Amino acid sequence: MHKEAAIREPLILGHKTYHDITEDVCKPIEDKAPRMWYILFGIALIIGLYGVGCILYLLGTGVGVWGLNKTIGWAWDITNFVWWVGIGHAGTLISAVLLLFRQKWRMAINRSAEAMTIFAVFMAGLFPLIHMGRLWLGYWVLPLPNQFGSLWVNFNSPLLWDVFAISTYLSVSLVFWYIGLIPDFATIRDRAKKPISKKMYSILSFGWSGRAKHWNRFELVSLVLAGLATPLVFSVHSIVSFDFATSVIPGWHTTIFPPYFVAGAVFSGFAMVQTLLLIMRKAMSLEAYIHTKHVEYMNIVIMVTGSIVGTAYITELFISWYSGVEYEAYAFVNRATGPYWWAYWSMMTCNVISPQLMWFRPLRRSLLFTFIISIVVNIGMWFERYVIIVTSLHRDYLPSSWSMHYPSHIDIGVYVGTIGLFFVFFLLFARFFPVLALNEVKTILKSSGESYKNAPDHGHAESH
Amino acid sequence: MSKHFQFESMMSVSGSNADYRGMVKPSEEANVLSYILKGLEVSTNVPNALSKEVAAIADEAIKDLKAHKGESIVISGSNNKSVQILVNKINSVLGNYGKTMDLKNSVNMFKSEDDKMNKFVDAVIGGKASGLLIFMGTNPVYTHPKGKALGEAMAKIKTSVAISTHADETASRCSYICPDNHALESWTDHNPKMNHYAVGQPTIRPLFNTSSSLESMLVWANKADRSGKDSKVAYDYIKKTWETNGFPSQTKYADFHTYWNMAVHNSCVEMDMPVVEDAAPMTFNVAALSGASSGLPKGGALEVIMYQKSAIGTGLYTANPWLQEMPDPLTKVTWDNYITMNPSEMKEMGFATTFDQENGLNMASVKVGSTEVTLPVYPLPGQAPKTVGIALGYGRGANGENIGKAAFQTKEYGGNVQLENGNPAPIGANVYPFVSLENGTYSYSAVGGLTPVDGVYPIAATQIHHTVMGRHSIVRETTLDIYGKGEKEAYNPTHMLLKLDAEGNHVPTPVGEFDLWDAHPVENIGHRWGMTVDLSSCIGCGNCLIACQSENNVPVVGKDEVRRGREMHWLRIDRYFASDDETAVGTRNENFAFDTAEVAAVNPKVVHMPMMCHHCNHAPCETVCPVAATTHSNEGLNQMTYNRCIGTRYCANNCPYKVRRFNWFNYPSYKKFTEINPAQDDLGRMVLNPDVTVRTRGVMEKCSFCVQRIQAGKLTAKKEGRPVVDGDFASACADACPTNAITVGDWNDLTSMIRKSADDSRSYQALEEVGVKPNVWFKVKVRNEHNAELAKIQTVAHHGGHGEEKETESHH
Repeated sequence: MHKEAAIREPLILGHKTYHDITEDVCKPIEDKAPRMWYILFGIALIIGLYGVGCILYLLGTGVGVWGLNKTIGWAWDITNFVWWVGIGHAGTLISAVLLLFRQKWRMAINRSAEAMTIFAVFMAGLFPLIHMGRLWLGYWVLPLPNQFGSLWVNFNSPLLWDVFAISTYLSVSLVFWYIGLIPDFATIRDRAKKPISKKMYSILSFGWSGRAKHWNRFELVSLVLAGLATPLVFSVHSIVSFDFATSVIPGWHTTIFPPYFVAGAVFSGFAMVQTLLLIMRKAMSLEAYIHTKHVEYMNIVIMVTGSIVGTAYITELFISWYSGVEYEAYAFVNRATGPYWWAYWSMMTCNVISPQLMWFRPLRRSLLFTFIISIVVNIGMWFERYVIIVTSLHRDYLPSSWSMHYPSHIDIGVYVGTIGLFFVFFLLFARFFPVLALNEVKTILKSSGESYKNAPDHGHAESH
Repeated sequence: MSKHFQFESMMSVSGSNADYRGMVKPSEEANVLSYILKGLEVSTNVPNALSKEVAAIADEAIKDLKAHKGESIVISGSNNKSVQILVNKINSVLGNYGKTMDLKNSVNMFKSEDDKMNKFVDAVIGGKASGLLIFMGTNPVYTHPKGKALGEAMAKIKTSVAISTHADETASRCSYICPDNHALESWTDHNPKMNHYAVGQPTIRPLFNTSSSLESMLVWANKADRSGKDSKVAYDYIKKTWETNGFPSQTKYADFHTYWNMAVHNSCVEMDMPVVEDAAPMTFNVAALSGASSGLPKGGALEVIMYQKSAIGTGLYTANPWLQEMPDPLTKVTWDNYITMNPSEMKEMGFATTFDQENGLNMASVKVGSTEVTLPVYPLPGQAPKTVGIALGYGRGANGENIGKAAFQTKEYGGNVQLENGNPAPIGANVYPFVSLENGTYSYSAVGGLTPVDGVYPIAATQIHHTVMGRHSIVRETTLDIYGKGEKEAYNPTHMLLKLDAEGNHVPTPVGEFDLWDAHPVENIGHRWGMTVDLSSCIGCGNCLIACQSENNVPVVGKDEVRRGREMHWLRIDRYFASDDETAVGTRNENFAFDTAEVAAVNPKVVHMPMMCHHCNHAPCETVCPVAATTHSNEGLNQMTYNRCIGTRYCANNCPYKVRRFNWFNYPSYKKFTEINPAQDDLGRMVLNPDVTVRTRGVMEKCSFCVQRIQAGKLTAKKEGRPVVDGDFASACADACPTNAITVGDWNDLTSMIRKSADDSRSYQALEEVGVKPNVWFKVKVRNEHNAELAKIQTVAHHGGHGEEKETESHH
């Protein structure tokens, strides 16, 4: 059995047994939902439906209902797309990268984080679809054989790479998440009393028996999928960054984007995980499983990736001067002092200052501070994408085309609607799916559980 | 090269193209003329006080006029007799009569009899007019200063008849309207200039139940009978006139039939009139000069100028949506009139001097006499202090007259804005009542007062930023002196980058020689369509814009969409004012700073720069379209495949010239555009060009170099079994340009005009360093002025020996 140092903080607090873990995770699914769940779900649903309504209006009337114009062809639509995709990266990193690095603290958080990723990618995927002028012909981005010659898609286009990247990301994430859920669904199936529940979870369990052979395969497939998903953490957001980096527009045309965007994605993703988990652990009484140590580790990731992002900002500023390209220099002078200076400075304060505060141990171990900062970071990251997209487009090469962007009600409605829809999905997930990878957490109980760590060494008799 | 001095009150198209421009109030116009006369050693009793700046320009003008006697023209647009007397004296002193000014060959087009018209209007108002009034091709209830009173008085007239195409302000008050043919449905003849006679033939059979005005007159004079829709009354009459008067006065054609056919085909015939030898040469009436000081325009604390916009003119085209949507060449505002004012004065008075789609302009009311109008105040650089300008031609249809749907204000989701009485709201305000009769002629400037009014008015402008920020890669200007020295690197420097040669040395190389990709196989193979735009010739009139709109079915989007930055014009004319940080538009001086460079100078130089798709050979738009809806042809064109486009808009984002236009809505059917887009009207739809697709929503469109015309030109050559030659094809914009600023053709054809134009020393490519390799060249604008500061900047430093390339000091 894996022996862990006594001084290392336990990952599971209190005197938990295997049965406790099962009970703690399955009870919220088996019991009636608390009233707060219904209230939150209702609110999220209303907001989500409003967003759907806005989207239908958009599709029926035309992209003109947004605030875009001849100079600024993308604004809130692509800002939201990148924001949501970025948020999704935390789940993949936690599930895949931390698995390969054998980080035990991932066990308690990876299920919800991966769920967050999937729902974030759903929301992200909405935007490239609805921002198209003719969505009903959107299938033309797929390289399917056809009768036009055959007419292939344009493989030079970053938007096309996006199609492959996002669809790969979504499918791999879904598979990885689902495979991980199977043993947990089986646990619920085995405990289920009501016939419909039993039937549903039985289907979802995919025939899991708990045999050693199944566990063996499970471990192997998890490693393989982790291996597949890990490169995606770096490639997907690099490809998304190519949407801008491969263009000629000052402020977009820069090689720093791939690492900058990937770091930013992990940064905002972990912040969103913090926001969701800090609420969830309280609401579902999972404080023993997700506590200060997890929060602290995640804050360290936020601090590192935030510092990378901050360094990237400074680099961009330096290069805008050092390059000697007047358009580049103007792009950054405009960002800092032009009509959108408020967005730029929001971005700078939220993204550069907040992660640096995590150097202080008391702050990074404070749950309240973390919660506030996590929201600040996500606001800052939204502004970062807005600044990159809109300030670069609104004043580019020819001053005669310079314009301003103002969001319309539909811009705001769709964005807020996706937040609502995200929570609809997440609340459904919390209600019907095990939010903790209960079987994975069980594997670390004996090595990292508080009661086990402080107990004397019972030798092999206690090992399971 | 000619030299153009302009003294004016507000920035006009002419003034923006002048070499020297002085700002004066209308009442100071006579001062300028008197000052010039003094410089020509003629004293008058007309005051000649001028500001320092204007006096300096006048001095320069005097110097040049003296040095070029008999080679100049001095003209004034004023109707004031005294002013014109001064003008005549100057021309006389300079010996222009008989040389540059030929009084015998008058242009007959703007002849008017202001005092007679005024007498008539007064008579009607006073109830002294006869019982029968006939109006033909005129609308005085709208265009006359006393039009309102005239309209009311017409109720008392027993029989009033209007021969007109619309039930306009005058016609709707007449007892009878005789619907007239449109000019394009009529046979007409004209005498536009001495010895020039023209025949106008119809291009279409009358669409409606109308009748030519000439026919009506003939019928009423008992000289003809009505003969229905296909009537030949007018045709026969005109033909007879030409047979009786035209044919005998010429000797070129022996039989009338050939003469008539050639007259109709050529449409204009110049007669060989016998030369009339005058008894004595034209002399100047000195006595008139001494009387010039009386009857001069009166000055005041605020002078109001009633001007005509290039598009709307006198108000004849208020209901034409293309012309309403045409951005004014100087202000770039559409669908409105406004009060133009000096920006510094506006700042002092607390008016907003910048605006965008959500932040409109402040309002003020201007009062002249007893008429007051409330309009937004627009900051127009070059407006003389203590003057304001308001355009004529607006405020039409004030009583709901049916002059055309597009003449009225539209709401955000379609439909006309309604006044309290249910009538549709006119666009802008009518300032004809500000015009007054002064000493027998109409004065289009007046003394008035301005008071700020609360409120913000949304403005639909196609350009909200007015300087080029010293970006030398976009706009290049020089002076005749510098150009004359013949050193291209001074006024048109090649953008250089460093390249490593075989020995590892860094060698400056023209940026055009760098290439990241393989070139498309267009150079020297087959056709390569290209275009040059001469900034020296372009006057910013906007003809090309409208020609393109008509040729390519470009939709009209209305005020609200233009305000939101979505006008659809494929070809636009960028108008740049110089800031104080630029010695010439696009050339920085030492004070250059990003913030101050955004503000136009008080009396700025102006450049008009037409912008359309450059058909880049390394088009940034082509690489980024996910579905390959935009590709490159083997003749150098960037092709836009409407039916493949799914509307992701990356191509538009990536275009450095921002020439792509997206169909945000379904312009041919969405309710927002019913009142203003011709494609939604059964009659209006006939304006669409059947050779060009009408695009649906969600699709990107842009200039195609009129590919339908290219194909037609190639087909004609093919059918005639010969190669395509220069002139087989011209794009709509090149066709329409009155100054031939746009040249298109086959760049691979070494003998073509476009090739010669593109190889010229003044040719450059905008944003060449971005590396997109466009097929459009611009040519450096040359101003005939002395600019010492610019001469210092645009120099070439010569280094001896070393084989070093010419180093340039000109700023990028």
